Amino acid sequence: MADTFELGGRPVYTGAHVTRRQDDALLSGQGTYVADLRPGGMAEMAVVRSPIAHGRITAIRTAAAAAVDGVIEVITAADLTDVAPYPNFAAYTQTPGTFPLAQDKVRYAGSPVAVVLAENRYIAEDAAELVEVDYTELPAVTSLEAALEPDSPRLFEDWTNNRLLDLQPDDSEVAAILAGNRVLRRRYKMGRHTAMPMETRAALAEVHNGRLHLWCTNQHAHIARTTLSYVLPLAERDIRVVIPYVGGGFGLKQHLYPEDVLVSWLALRHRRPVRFVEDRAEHMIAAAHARDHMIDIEAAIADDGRILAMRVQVVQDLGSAEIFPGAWCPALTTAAHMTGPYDIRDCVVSVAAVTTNKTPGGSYRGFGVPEAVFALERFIDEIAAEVGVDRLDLRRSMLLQPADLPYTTASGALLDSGSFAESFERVVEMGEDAYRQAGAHYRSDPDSRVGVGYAVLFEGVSPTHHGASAHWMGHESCTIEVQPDGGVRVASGVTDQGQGTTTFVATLTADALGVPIETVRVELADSDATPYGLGAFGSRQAVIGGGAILLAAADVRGKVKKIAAHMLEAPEDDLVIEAGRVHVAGSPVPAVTMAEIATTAVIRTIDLPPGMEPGLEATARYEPELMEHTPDEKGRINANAAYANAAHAAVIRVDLGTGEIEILDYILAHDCGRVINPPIVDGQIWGGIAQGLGGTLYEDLCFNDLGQPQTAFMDYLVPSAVEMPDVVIEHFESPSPNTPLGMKGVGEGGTVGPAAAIGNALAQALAEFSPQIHETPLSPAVVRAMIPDQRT
Amino acid sequence: MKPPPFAYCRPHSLDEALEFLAEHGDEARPLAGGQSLVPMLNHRLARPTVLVDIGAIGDLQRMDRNESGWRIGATVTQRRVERESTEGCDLLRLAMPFIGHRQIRARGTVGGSIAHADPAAELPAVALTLDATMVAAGLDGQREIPAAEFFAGPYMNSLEEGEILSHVTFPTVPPTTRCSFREFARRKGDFAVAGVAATVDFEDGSVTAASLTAFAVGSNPVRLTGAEAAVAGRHLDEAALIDSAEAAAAEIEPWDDIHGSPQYRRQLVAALLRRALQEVAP
Repeated sequence: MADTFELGGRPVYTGAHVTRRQDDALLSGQGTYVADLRPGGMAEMAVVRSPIAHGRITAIRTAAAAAVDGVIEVITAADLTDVAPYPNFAAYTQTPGTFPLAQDKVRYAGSPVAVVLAENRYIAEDAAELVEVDYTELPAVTSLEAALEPDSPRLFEDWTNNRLLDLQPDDSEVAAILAGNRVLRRRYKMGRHTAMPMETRAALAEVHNGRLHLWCTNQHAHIARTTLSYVLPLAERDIRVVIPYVGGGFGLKQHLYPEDVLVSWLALRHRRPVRFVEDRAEHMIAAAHARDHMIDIEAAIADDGRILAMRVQVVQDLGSAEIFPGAWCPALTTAAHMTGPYDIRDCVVSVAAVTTNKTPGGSYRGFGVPEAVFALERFIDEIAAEVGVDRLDLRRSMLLQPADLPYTTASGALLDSGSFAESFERVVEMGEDAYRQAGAHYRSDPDSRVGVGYAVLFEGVSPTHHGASAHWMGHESCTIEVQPDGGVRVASGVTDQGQGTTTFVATLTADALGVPIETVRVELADSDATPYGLGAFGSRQAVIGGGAILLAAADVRGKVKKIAAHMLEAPEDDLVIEAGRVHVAGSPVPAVTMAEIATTAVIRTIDLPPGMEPGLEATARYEPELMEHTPDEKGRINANAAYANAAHAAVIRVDLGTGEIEILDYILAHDCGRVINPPIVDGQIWGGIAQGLGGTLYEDLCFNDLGQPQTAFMDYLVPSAVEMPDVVIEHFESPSPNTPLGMKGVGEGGTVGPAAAIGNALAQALAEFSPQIHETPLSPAVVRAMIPDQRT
Repeated sequence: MKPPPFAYCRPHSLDEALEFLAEHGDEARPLAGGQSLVPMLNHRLARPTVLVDIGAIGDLQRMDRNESGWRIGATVTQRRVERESTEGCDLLRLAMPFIGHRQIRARGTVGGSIAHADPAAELPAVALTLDATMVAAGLDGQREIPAAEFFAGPYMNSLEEGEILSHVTFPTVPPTTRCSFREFARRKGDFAVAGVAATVDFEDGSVTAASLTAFAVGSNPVRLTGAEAAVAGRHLDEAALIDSAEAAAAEIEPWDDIHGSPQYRRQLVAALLRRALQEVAP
């Protein structure tokens, strides 16, 4: 691995504090988002959405809306005669047959039923109110427990039940171990929350020379293009997808939503630009929700508390499941992480993903791992309490040690490197110290209790796409071209939602070619300008996109040296490339510049070495060798190219009067292998923790018994700067032997641990009341209910 | 989230504004800082066809102290009250930072918040605690409405059609009066889940007068008369604190929403009142 992927010389930018490329534009308000695009003749779209959670559409009357001055057209599903349903490639699931507009039924409040196209959004919204839809209401399924009931009303009448996915592996081996040992059972649930990016979804479609141009907020230019070609009556060559500045994706923008298809269809039909910018009220009900998991653990326990074997059932509430790609994959990911970084050899997990009359679930940072970590880490604390052993010692007795690596988990994940025990010990040391100080500080406060909680975890990063789509796999692509003036154009299939992708692409390209970073121009997220790649998901871009960059750069570097050797009349192997100049190692002159070499390669080709092809560019594709796309006969799969790890510690104060949890200290030790850009890594961790704390303490998407959403944006409590604790970040670096430069992904580790760490801290703080802590969010009302009312 | 069509006017005198209101009846709504009305327009929860912007009426922007207290014009911003001295009216000063965020307070007005009568809003609770007087202006002249009669249900006030809340007078209290404002919100700047306002007078350590109010726990802010009685004439010792908190929890009729059950809100009011009384105790 090290031979194939190298930087080519001493790194100048890799590992250094390189300023993010987009900062100037973003900080001065110059970033251009879809909502900033306003081509001449643009029309805007408003979506008529179902007000009920479950019902049959009996009539739609659009005439009054169509008659409003400024309305161009009102369409329903019946108009989309040349549109195909989204495909489903997963043979192991039932198919929702998702269509951009509701055909005969609505299955969640917010489901798109009709579209008003008008001269502007004001008129479109006025007219949308005039569209009359008659429904016959059906009983709504509003919880995963209800969906599991055999006589539960079915969302899809041609299905046999509400289980889109139902995998029940053979559990006989684990059952035998459970039968012969003490068994502990617990049920854990994680609430429903969502990414809530600052920028909502948006799409603008335009027809140029007979081709569809779609500007959108999707995380994948090429997957979006291909999917549009499956759904629309259009050849893929006639579609261009461009993703301008994006204000956060977090997985929510992985899906190609109905509105992306609808603006495209309307632009093709009316031959004028059509834009949809989702408003925040729509975002609450029509953009993907996430989490909403229930996990049942049964474990055989040794006398000292060690887990001998586990039987786990994971159930994920998919909402109506009308989304593409489908959203069952977090449940599979939960299953793959149920043993944590512990030596638990026997673990069998059954997985069900059920449909309910709620907003479709989708991707969200963490993607099934926070659920697994919350359940397992709470469970370990509960075992320790039950058996009467120290919760830290119990972890120590099971944690993977350096000598255990490489280690293949019961689910098939290959942990090739990591600092599980070391990172844990570091946060314990710091956490216990902070806890002692907090205890001393609040000792005399009768209204306060303090506690410290820990979570230690591994996290699969750089996964195959196959688990989500059963179609795409895991490669990434890169084209590097050196232009005659020595400047470099690098184009890749990776995309930037604000997390700094552009910066790492420039960083690796500059170091791998030996050129100043200022001479590198990065092109991303335009399907016409970049080679086919899979874009942003699963903390994959630096690892897999980085691999493609290094491969392409190695090709270009080889040719640079050959041309330079010819020009300098020196042996190729003696040459080094530094700061855009090539010279013999140890003697900076004579040298040839990248400009001279590139000019030779593409203009004065007469000066090339005899027989050499003109041009100075290369395209490479990289797919990690050890990444598996489909499971073996026992359901085991190494679905990721790498595994990052982290340990979290939270020291909290609980207000006994209000039930409020205050985070006094938050400590995180993380390990993402080789670090490319330290501030970006820190930023990812900060942001991840904010979203993890949000789901743990604040954010909750509630529905009533009729399936009516109860959480408006003003009630959806994204933590702000005031709510964020200070965070101490400890860095560990265990390079993977199997990835380019030893990199692992870093996008999600912060999100994964807070629920478990806070839950465990709360259990300790309120130990005198024996609280039952099995669910998130841990809102003040929930916490207050754990405290008996003897004090006022 | 675009409002339906509406007409807009911006009169420069109160009389002119009242004439617009008279002309358009219940189709018209006064617009002050817009911090509640504009979101309601965008959500199409309010559908006035005429907005009468009262922001250019100089008389409504005055804030001065007279013999009965601080007379604050309806369009004086919350931020201005927060920044300027309201000597003798400490409760008002204490409550201001709990109203939304600074940006909201920079636009939000005293009169707008009180007229809007949001059950979770701070200013109505302050007005009720201090026995403030609302001045309603109509084409026929002015009338005064005591705070206890002004709030008529959630988002409802007792202004007649065609009237504008022009001023609010917050009585000043002597320097010996102690006051406390306590609010529990999920995040900094959010609407209260529950809140308590208190002014208490003492003589020789005993309570001679107490005005205690809970808000965000019912249709409107509510005076905690049971809790007031529980502390009357007593030293604020542990027993008095427990009695008053229990009385408060028992006498409110809290609502239920996703942030808290009635039971939780009773617990919150008990805890907040206890802390408020601990704070003011001599």
